[in-house]
Amino acid sequence: MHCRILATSLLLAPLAQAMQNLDDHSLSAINGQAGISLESQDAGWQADAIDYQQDGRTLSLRQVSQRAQGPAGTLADSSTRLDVVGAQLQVEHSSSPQVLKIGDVRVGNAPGSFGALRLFYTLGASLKIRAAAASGVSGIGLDGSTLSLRDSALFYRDNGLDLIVRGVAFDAFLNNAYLDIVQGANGQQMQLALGNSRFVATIAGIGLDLAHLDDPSMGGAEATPQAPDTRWSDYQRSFGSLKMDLRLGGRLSLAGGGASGEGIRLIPDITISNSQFQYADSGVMRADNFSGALRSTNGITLDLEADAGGEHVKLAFQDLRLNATLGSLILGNPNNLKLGGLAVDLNFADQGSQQNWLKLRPGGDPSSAAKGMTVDASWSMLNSSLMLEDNGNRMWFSGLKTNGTGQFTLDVTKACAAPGPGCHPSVFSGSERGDYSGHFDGLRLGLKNVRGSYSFEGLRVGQANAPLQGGTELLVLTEIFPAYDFNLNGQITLRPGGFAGDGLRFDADILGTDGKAALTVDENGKGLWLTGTTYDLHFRNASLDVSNNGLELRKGEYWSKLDVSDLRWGNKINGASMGRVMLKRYESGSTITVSSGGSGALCVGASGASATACGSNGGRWEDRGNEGLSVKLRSIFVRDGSSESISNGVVTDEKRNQLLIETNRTGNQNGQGSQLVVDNFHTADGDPGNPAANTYGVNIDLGLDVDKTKVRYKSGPNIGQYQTPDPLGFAVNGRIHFREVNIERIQHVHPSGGAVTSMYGIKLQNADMRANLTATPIN
Amino acid sequence: MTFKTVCWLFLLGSPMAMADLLALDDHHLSQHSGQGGVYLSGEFSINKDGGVLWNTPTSTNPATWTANQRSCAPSGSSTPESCGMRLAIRAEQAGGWYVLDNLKGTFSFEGLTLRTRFINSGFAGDGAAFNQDVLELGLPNEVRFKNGSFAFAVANQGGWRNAVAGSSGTAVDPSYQQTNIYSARIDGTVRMQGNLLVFPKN
Repeated sequence: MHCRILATSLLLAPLAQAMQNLDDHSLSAINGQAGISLESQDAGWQADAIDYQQDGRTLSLRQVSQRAQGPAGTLADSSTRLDVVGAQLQVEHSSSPQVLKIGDVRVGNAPGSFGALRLFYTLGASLKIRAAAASGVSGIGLDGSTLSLRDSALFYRDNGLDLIVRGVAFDAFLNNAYLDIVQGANGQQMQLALGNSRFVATIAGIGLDLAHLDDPSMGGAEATPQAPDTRWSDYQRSFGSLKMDLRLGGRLSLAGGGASGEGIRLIPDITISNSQFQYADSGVMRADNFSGALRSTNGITLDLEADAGGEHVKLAFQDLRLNATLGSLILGNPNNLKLGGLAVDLNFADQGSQQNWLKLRPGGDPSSAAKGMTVDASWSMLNSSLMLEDNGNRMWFSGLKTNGTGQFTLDVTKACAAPGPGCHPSVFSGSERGDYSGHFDGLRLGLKNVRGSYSFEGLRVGQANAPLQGGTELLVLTEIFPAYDFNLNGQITLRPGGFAGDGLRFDADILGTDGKAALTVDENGKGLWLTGTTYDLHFRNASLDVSNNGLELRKGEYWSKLDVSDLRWGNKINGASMGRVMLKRYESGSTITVSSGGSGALCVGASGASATACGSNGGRWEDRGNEGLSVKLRSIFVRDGSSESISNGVVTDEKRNQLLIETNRTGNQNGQGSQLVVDNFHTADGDPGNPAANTYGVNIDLGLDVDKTKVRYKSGPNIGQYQTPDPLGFAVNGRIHFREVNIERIQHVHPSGGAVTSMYGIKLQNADMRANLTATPIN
Repeated sequence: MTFKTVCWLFLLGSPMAMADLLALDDHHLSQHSGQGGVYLSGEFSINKDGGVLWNTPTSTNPATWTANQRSCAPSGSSTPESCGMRLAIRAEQAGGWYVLDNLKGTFSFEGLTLRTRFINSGFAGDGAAFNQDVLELGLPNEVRFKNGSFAFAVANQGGWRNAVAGSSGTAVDPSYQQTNIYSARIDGTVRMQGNLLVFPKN
């Protein structure tokens, strides 16, 4: 690999150019004196290009410069003080605020560009360098060194639109850290041993500036952190803020040579312990005891390559293991009940043709001009798990595996009435139903043929090696399936600022095809499958916030069509089919809220607000503690008011609530069988004084806990008797309640005879249904 | 909600297909210990603490009820009772409504199992010919019913209205008519043994 700077014009001050290195002898001679102070002022530097070359290919940074922040001509002040104390060289460095600009990032001859960057920062360092590292190791000791970054902001520009990361600051304390050259599996490598270092960082917010355009007629001066672009109405809104205080250990190694030929190989073996992490919106998601590890035996390689799609940067890892435990986790109000603990153990590993890599290509979606980023991705994960801890009881969603491939695009986009520089008209103008390549205001993530699958083996409760059991079926109400094969196309566009304050809003159009989702599945892949599934879903003005109520998803205007070609029993490929099921939904104002707490104490089998009252009514009092997870889904189904004929056909409006079941199809063709249609169902508040009121919706409240329950033996010598002690299970307390649900009609449709109506209205009122179930293994 | 609805529709739609199958014995069930599948303990209930549309008034006299109040106490009772769920169906385009009213109760159990099972043997020789996957619901030995009730009625509107003039204003509709044909209350224990096997017949 080679680095070179082309056509560089250095603007270093003459003072700096005149300086020469001090040798060790000279430095040691001034031990105990005041040391050496270097004070300089310079106008910065610029380069037409900085190229990284590898295996004959080039990653090129164009129009690179560094200058002092401020008006043109401002000189940057910097101060460096060198001193030798004992056997240690101490370097104290500080400088005035700087700005680093990269005008363009390209790979070889690829036509697109990754975009432009501007980094505003103030860097300080206190380095303590000694020849001998910690006891028993060689290398360069860095114990006691500190690096700090203040008042920093990153502006990423794509086609004249900016993504802004503001208020970035960190302090890195390198305790017992050292640098060394060691012999590794991939040859000699530079290794940074982190000792027991500490990294404290904040990001005040991530926002957008969609008013600032490269076209001079649209504005003028570049925005800066001190002078934001106030023409963009949401310039103060952000996706939220981050704080972290991480205690780091382990080591990070850097070796030469990529996956093939030249390149770079980064080998992480990093541990995190006793750390804190917080994301804040109007509420918080905070882990007070965060620990974990990131490890890769073969490392993460970086190569410059070319394929049929052109030249690109390839990141690959044959193996990568990430485990993280978020202890004492709070979601919502900081004074709320705790969720308990949450842990993930993700194990990426190549398996034959299922590999882990990212190909980063310059230029985003073809419909979004030449800048942005396209990522071809392949992933393969196995033997992974998610763990939930509730009042000391643990449960694992065990045997998670997933693999797939697909293309993702990343662009900053803007919808506008007429095309112009950096501005692409929404193809949905006048029609929202055409395709999935629309542009909205925000950070646009495009999906193209993202084809993959995931599955869980099942639940394990109590111990990580406890018997597998079912129970993931109880999450189907939240559309979390035990197994899912998918092929996704579409887009989701994120805007900073949620329903109120920080957070995010989004518009999305997603089309899932060739889907196979399990409602229930056993370890042999047999169960109840939704196969041949097409899932077409759309969100407008949806938002996601962390508020004092928890994690709140407001679905805005939402419509979807789930068309299941075959509901199969047994095998997902050739199990016997019950027929076709199609569900259309049209909702406005629906919400999903996830918060801490779980079910708390409740009465099973009777009513009663206390253990005494419950027992005297014949019930069983179960106190599931103050931790756990609470999920609330509120679906407000809107009546389709269109006046299509109802005499001899099925209404085909896209924005309509409709359930269709079709059996006995000729040639397995939709529309060639007998159909039962539950048409135009919708919710209402049941208020005679205001029949149009529709705010209550259908509510599904779920309390999820890991807790003990009563279990009787169903077989063996103790049949009918209770197991002792009470075994742990996955406890789901579900409640479905609504004031009024109306179904406009029930139709029966024959492929040639047309539709007849059997019921001219169904009205359900005053419902409050509960299912309080605890899942344990079959005994 | 969506998928649950779909699933239960199938359960209700398949009784004929289930009729020919025999129960799994306990020995057979025990061979599946530790595998996929799930053992469920708990309860299903409908309106066990009342509903969400109508609050329970302090009097059984409809004339005193406010717009969001309704009592479903038996005729002649002076103690108001919370109401269960109401289901109304209109079978003719301009006809009246069949009503299943005040539907409520608690059904608790220990040992409802759920798993998938492949049947290709047994059942007095029928299993080999059947040769198909089924969804197996292992029934709990006992199901306890508590405070179960429902009423069958006919009415001239789908939604319940207070037909007695009172102080509430908007809820009152003197033209509303509902005639309860019969009502029932259920308490006790039902023994439910064996398995319910569900499979598709397209």
